[in-house]
Amino acid sequence: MSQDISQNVPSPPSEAAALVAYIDFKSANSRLALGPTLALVDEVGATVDWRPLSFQPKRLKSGSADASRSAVHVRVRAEYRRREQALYARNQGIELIHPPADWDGFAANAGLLWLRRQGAEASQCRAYVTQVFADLWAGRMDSADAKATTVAIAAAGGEGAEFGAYLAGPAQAELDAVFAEARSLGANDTPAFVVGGELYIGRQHLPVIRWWLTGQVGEPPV
Amino acid sequence: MDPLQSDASLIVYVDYKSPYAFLALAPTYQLEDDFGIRIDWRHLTLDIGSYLGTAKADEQGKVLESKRSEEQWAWVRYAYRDAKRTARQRGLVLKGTMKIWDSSLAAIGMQWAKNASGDCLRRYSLAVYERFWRRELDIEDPTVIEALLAEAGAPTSGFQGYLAGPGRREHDALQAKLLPAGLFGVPTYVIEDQVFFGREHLPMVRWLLGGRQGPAPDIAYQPF
Repeated sequence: MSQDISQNVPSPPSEAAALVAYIDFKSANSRLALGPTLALVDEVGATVDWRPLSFQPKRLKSGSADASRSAVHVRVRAEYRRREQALYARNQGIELIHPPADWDGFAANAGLLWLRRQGAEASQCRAYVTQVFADLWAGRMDSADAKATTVAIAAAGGEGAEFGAYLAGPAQAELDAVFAEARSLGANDTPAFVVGGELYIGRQHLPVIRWWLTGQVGEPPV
Repeated sequence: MDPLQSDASLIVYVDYKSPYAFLALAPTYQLEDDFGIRIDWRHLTLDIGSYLGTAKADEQGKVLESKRSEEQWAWVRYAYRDAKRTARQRGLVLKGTMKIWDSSLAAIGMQWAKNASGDCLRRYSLAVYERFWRRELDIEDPTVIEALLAEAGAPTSGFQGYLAGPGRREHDALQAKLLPAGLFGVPTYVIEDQVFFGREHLPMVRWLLGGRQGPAPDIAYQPF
């Protein structure tokens, strides 16, 4: 895999980042990856190039004549995922209040691109990502309210005055370009990490990501 | 058989046609060795078509027929890419399958090997996984399964009758109970009435088997 993953991303952070992380603010697994990812990069002294990526709710169509079995499978898998996420959220000591199922995360995802457009430092993007994830999944953020996103942008040190115009203007097209770029790399879920030219989906890969970030010493921990 | 109950401290559901179950085999057997436990191995025969559609390919990977959506293809492509990468890094051979195999005969062979002994089952499973993923094994051929059982040291007298009769009934009866019990994929670990899907939960399984020493671990793919 050697594609240029930055050509469609507006104004990347000024600090070099060895790790690209595609996140979706409405994804519980992205939320759960935040703390362990930050702990890792803090430990090894790396920065993260945060990028938004969003998918519609899973609608795996049946390839089988038995559509009812497929529907049951999807439901059972989803119920399991909720239990699993709740367990690990408790272990991490974080709240995990799921946002409404019909929330598309548009404003929050666009807020991250808006910060990048302004040439935000990696630390500012990190501050935004951290606050939005924490507030949204603790039920403190009205996800449908663009003003809440503007507040988060300002808290991260960004300029939010024109954010509304951005949302109504080029935001959707820019998000679509970033999403398309991620999908072209093979990212089909979040969190998705790109390091060393490799794509890894899920925080379970953080041990091998550490191996990449620390110079690939010894055998990869897989 | 209750899908969530066993006299063993750990139940592990696998399917020979799952690359992720193949990759979980060694680190899961390591649990038996490290903790001195007996694992209750069971087969969850995946109905892949019901959630990932179906497709056939030639030996070069060219798709010959497909009943998959783009989303389903994206999942399958990443899964194989990820699994092959891990296999390569561990020195295993993992070639993509050319069709969705019916692994139920191999599953019934697993039941037979398990009834023979834990050692027979380990030898049988290792042989099935390694050869199947090298594309050297037709797991839909009853004579192939019987030969593997013999090689693993299991008695084979009566196996073909078991395959067509009680073994098949036992297999099918268990499969019918799995999805209603919340079991849908492999590898799945059942321990202390909790279900964990995927080998990324091995740190948690080890933590539970080890008496919950220290903070509970997060999910991770890692060697032990």
